[in-house]
Amino acid sequence: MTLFDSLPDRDAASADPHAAVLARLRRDDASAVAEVYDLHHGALRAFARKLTGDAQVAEDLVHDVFVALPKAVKRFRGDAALRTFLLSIAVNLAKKHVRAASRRRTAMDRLAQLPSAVSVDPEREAQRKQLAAALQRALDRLPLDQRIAFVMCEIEERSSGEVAAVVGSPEETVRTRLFHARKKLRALLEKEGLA
Amino acid sequence: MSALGPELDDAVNAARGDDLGSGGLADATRERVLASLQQRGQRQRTMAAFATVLALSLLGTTSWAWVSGWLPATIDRLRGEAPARVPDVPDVPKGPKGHEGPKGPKGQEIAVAQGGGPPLRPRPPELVLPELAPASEPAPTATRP
Repeated sequence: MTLFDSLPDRDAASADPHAAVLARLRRDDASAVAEVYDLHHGALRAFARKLTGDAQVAEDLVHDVFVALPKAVKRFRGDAALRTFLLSIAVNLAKKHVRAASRRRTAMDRLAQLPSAVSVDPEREAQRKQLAAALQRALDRLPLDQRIAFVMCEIEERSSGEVAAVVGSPEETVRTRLFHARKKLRALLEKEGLA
Repeated sequence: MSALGPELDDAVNAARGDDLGSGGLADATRERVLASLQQRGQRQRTMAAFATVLALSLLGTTSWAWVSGWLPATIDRLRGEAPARVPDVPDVPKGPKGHEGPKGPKGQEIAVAQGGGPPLRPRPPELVLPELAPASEPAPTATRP
């Protein structure tokens, strides 16, 4: 069973309006890809940025998703929303990009230890950025499945059912991954002295 | 979010608000996607054209070879003529120790040709000429007058 076979029927109604676009996508029509991009790039980019924690790597992930779309759409049966399908592709392609983001972050952390330029942000903004960076570092140490579950459920505030549809796993599995992710992240953040 | 604990809760809130700077990346990525798709389409078309030319060349060559009779002749030759085999060297049975080789009918040794040549025939027995019997009549003598 592929990831896309397990998507639920609840989005079938919303998938219908895309039938014409899907047909054009299946014929490798580049203008159809552009159309889908205009409709869904925002949601996809937001997810990619939260997952990778790096704007440039997130753009690479978005690029790869839309380049892979004409080929992947041949496996799409139309029983889920196109956005859910796009997120599924992103999840499948995320591994390489998450690693790249982690490497970039490590390199940037090394650079950040140099004395920085004058900051225009107030102290609170600096603290917020520090917390977000600490969370990203902690996320880098989670297995990809748990990371995806945490980002989608906690940061993007999606339901576990929706996440289950995207990742192609049972809802209970998603909840279990989320439980373990929280536990590990708490421990990691405490270790960093953020408790 | 209370289930997360205060420190993780704060970090998640910070991550939610962290927009990482949007800039003009969305438009640039859109252009990049379209360029990649166009490049891939061009590559696929090139490959398809190359494969078509190759297939047509193969078809043309085969047709020409068939019509000109070269191909059927080659097939017949391959089917009819098995490649010539090099004859095996016959094994010469080795006798017991001291036995030099096969003997002829009268004990003569048969020379065995080396290198697979035909064996030499046994030498025929020498002819013994019978001695002439003494003449019964005296040989005519010359008379002196």
